[in-house]
Amino acid sequence: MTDADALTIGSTQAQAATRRIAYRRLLGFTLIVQTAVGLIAVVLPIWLARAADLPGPPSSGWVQLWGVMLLIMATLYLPGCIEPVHVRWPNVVGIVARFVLAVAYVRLGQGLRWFALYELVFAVALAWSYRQLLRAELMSRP
Amino acid sequence: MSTATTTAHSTEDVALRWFRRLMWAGIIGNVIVGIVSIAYTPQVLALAKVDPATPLVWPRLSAMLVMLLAGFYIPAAIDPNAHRFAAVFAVVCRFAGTIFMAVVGGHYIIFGLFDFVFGAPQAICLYLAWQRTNAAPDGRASGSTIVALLAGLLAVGAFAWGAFQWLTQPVLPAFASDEEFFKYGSIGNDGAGGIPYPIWIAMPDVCAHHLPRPQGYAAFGLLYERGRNPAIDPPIGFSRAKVGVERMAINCAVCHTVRARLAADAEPQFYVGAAANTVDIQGYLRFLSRCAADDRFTPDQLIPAMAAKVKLSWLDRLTYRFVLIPFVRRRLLEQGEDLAWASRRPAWGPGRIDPFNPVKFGMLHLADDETIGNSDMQAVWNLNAREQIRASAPLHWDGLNNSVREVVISSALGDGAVAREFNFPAMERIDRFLRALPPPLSPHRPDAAAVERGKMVFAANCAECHAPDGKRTLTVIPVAEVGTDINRSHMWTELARDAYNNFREGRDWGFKSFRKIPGYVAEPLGGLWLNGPYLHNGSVPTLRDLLEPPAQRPAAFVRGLDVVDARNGGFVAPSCDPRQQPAEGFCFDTRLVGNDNDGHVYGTALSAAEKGDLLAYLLTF
Repeated sequence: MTDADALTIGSTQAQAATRRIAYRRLLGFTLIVQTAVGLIAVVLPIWLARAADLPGPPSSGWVQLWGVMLLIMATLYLPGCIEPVHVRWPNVVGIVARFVLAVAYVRLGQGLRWFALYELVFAVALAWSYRQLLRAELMSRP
Repeated sequence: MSTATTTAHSTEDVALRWFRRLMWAGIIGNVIVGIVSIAYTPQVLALAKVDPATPLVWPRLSAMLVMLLAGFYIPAAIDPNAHRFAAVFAVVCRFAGTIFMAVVGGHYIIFGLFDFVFGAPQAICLYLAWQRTNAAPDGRASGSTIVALLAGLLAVGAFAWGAFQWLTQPVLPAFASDEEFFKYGSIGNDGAGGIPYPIWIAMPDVCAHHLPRPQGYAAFGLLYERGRNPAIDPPIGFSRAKVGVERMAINCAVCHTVRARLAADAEPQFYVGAAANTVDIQGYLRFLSRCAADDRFTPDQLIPAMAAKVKLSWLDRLTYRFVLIPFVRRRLLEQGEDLAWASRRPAWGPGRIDPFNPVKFGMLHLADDETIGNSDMQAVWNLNAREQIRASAPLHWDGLNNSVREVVISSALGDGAVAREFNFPAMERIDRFLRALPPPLSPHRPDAAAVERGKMVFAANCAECHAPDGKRTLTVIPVAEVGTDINRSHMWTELARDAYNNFREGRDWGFKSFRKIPGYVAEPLGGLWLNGPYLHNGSVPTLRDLLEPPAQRPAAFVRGLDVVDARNGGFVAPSCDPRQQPAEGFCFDTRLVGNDNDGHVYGTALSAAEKGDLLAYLLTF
């Protein structure tokens, strides 16, 4: 292996590491937001329904149920956040889930349209970032 | 490889294999439940008995999330060894869902049970598999099988408990109007005191010979509004709620709504909050226990009568035959025995009740002290106005409590509500409703000049105790002074007061306002035209009679009629002979203990003209 080869490979691994950090930061941020929304929905469902102009939740129970499922989803996402390259499944499912949720929130309407916009933006960002990460990882291998 | 190691590895394989199978089962379960919930949302909500949802997209969103969550479980289902985090998190999340739903409670427990069904066996399998992996080199499992068995038993017990909670959670009908809620809403006694609806509607048919008249429950003066079918619909004062099965239970309105006709041929009107002049609670309770004791109270007699009115599946029939009918029979017989003491006292009759002795001897576990608490039912309107007249105005005939909140809660307890199903929001709603409920205006239009003169007579003779600004209005007047029957006052003892203030059954109810003041409350006159018969024991039929000296008041009269007496005040109440009960109503005998019509002689010495004027004025309330 020449010095130039070593330099090239080393530089690619550094890029992969940078992409990994960027992806994990992005995913970490969305998981923190998701956890915060989930906790508020569980603890203060009526307040959240009013503050976020949620579409006529018939009872606090449904908002709480939504909140707890957001929390569970965030938990199940964690392995993907810890090892994004080796544990790919949660990341792929998570990105798909964000697109699906965005559509569902648009359908629900009212204040949830802001949630839809948020999910859509971060679904695209995560998809792009994850693709970059995987490409960098693959290219870093000899 | 030793035999022990081989066994350990094969056990590991079995446990892991079952874990994967259970993971896949959970994933498929999530997807199926999600798809079915999205396609048949209202039906699934009804089946799960959870809150109705409008718009339906909320439960559909939840269903979609359930499916999305299933996607996260797939790595653990494919290879739990390679995806240990995913496997552990999958199980943890199932338990998180279970715990959360158990905390939220209500019918949402069903979602927790769903997670538990998969989470518990998955956890056990995962534990076994990893125990074997980490076992000692000789392959011994360090008792992990026993632990797993115990965990399995615990899981089955927890599931059974959750299922029981879910099945016995009340499904309460919603009422947009406070008045409808007051008339037909649940106060939290459905599970403990409710009778399964099919049995309840069949009892008047099976036990018709125990009814005073062939009118179903209307024979006890229970009130059916226009358009309601007495054969199958609940009367006013009964809630129909589902606690396992649909049940009928009384609420506040049974004693606090009256039916009145302005003339014998007039359409009946219903006045919420008024004393239920026609309702014979004791007769109703006796009917229930007598019917339960009857040879006809059997599945063979009841089930055909039930099936004639409601649709019963084969499972319903089996449940009623072998579980519910025997159980209800036993409970009604016990209830009859609990109220046997009342047979040794004068009958309550329609519009009357002994409200506190059942509480003393039942709820508070005090010994039968031979007291008689028979009282007229009371109107419960204008509670805010009462407090404007006098802060902490006394409530009940003898003012035994002065907190509306405590009276509402204790009344629900007296009606059979229990801590585990107590409905505090319902109590608050009733509290708010009654505080703002005005008494209906008098329909009587006496001579205006007489009314004006009567006003003066009232001011001179009655206002001190009955005018809103009277200095003794809404105070407790000593029995020695007012002179009315003493039994109701004697019934409420210091012992009972202390026992109720210290009542902690099921929870700390926070009672502190029960008290003992020997006397009766001087009530304001709002709604006076609907309050007859008069005095705390309902022993004087009309206002005109009340202005006569006790010796000249009717010794026996018919109670329970609903025609308003526009001339005398109160309800039409002809004289009767207690030895022969009338075809309609109940012959009330003032010579029986507790029924004395003595006392309250204010105004009895007025001239006939003054009495006429005073009566004219009183008829305007």
